Amino acid sequence: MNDARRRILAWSEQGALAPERTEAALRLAGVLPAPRDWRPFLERLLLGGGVLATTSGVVFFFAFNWAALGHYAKFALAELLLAAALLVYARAANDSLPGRAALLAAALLAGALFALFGQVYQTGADPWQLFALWAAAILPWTLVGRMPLLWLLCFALLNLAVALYFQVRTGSFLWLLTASRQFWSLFLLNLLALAGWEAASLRGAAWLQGRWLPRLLALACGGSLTWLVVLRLWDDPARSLLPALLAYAGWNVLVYGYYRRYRCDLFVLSAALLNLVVVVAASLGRLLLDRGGEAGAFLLIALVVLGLSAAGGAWLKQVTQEVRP
Amino acid sequence: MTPNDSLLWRQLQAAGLAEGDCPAASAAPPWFTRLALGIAGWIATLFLLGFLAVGLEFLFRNEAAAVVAGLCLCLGAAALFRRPELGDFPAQAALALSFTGQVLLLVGLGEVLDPGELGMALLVALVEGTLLVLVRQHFHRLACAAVAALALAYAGGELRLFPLVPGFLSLALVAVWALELPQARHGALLRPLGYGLTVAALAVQGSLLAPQLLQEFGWHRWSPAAPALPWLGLGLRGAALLLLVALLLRRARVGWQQRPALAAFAATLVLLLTAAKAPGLLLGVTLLLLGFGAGNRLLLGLGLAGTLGYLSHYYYALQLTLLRKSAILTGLGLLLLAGWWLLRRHGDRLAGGDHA
Repeated sequence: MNDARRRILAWSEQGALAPERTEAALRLAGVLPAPRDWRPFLERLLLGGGVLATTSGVVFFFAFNWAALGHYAKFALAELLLAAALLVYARAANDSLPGRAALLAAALLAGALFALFGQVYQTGADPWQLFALWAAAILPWTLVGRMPLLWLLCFALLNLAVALYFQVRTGSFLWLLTASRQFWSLFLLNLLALAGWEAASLRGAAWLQGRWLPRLLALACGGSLTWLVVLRLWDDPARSLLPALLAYAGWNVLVYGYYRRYRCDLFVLSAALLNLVVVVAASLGRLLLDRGGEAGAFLLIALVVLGLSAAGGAWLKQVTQEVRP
Repeated sequence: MTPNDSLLWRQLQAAGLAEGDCPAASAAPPWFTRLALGIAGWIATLFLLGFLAVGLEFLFRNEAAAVVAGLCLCLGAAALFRRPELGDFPAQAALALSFTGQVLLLVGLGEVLDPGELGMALLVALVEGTLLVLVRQHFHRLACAAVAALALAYAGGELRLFPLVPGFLSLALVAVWALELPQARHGALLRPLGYGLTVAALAVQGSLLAPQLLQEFGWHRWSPAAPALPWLGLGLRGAALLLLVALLLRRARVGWQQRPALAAFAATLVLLLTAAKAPGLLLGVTLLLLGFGAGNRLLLGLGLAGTLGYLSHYYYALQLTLLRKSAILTGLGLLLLAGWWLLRRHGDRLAGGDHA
């Protein structure tokens, strides 16, 4: 749909297609929805929005911690809602929209239940444990549900658990500025998730063919590794830079090998290019500006960044031409 | 020309919508590639500014020199982008030079004119708006549109009219996106303008969830002579959504007196009233409808991301208690579910047989 849209709008801009015919052309190409297409879209919007808003309302309610309710009543309410959502899922047709919406609601309500448990019993557990337990609890539903959105929730919870674990260890969000195991952990976690997803998608299941989730995972992998390298550059390079650089090089080889040669994905390649620009700029900055920046050093780095991004852009354009049949 | 281009062109010809030979394939890369290259251009800009600050520091001490240098860089970049076959390196360099020039120009003008905060915001909007038209590069135009819109939002805050800003932004983005197809020939200007306004609208909506930020600037107060300002703001958002619904109905060739149209307007009004205390959701719905109605998946994605982001930060909004927020969201959720049920059960009757 996006390719046809891009082509038709480009032809209109060039003047090859009359402006008054653009809409008709888009309709013919199936880009613009026909009147009959609105109903399924609105049903999804209303159901998805309704489930999200209602579940959020329930989560907010328990967060307010309404003192008038006794503990048993609170748990009864939370568990009743969770059971109702699971019942809807069990009775709904396979892969139906209401069924999937109910499963998503159940996954979110599970988190509300854990939060309530922590509030009521004051177990002294750290925040990261809530998210880790939440992810573990919904994992069986995620495996059964065959919903990329549910997998996204699961991965997001695991990432949050890792981040909060290290926040507890350092005492504040200054962990963002201290390179060490947290970014290695995030990189490895997301790399594992990405590898698993791509391997599973090669089996051909239709629900695994969407690209948005693996792209987000690749973004998370590249982003955490890039940040790790940049922090190592400014930390104590002699001791700790080499492993980060080796991992970074390995990641780029992997990206090129898989996302260029095997399964061309322009999004991942574009993100990898940007990460490379950041790493090169940070490396040159460390090398040339550390002892007091001179004007020439700034200009040199700017030119290198421009050259690298231009070369990368030209390469991506060439790949785009190959990919677009 | 590629095989798929040729096939599509033949289909259009068969339907009487196109004539002549199939045009050459568009070489424009996808949006994420342009975004990545644009960000790389910004990184180069930072180092160029460093070069100017260290090597030509007189530019930052002499306001007139800053204005002249900034103007030269911006106009030079604009001229470069008008060349039909611009290479990749000159294109990236022109992008970085233009951004550098804008910083110099605005810093210089600010020093020369000393216009105060309101004046500076309007000056930024004027400069960025002018460059939006002059410089023919997608990411550059998007950035100019976003910055100009945010500058006008800032000016609105300074004038104690901040409650109206999200509504005006919503109206503007609906108007621009509505023109995308009828004015397809100007798509190179309209699309980046639309995306820039969308980014600005999402950013402004996000800022409303941080009242301490608004208090920092004093924008949380408005004139006692205009107590209805927040309601007027809500009215503007509602007007944007109703306008969008009207345009989509017209595009689907549904008469406003017909049952589907009446149902759509009624549902929009109900949504407006229910979401009055969670207005960020209205922006999300606007973007989702815009995206689906125009077959624009990026806009759909932004609408979804904006809605989810708003919900996740709504929790921390201090204007209302958690209990009230819970009631608002649960009520809204049940209403949406009721709407879903109605559509499933009575959709055929609402559609009147032929439509939807």
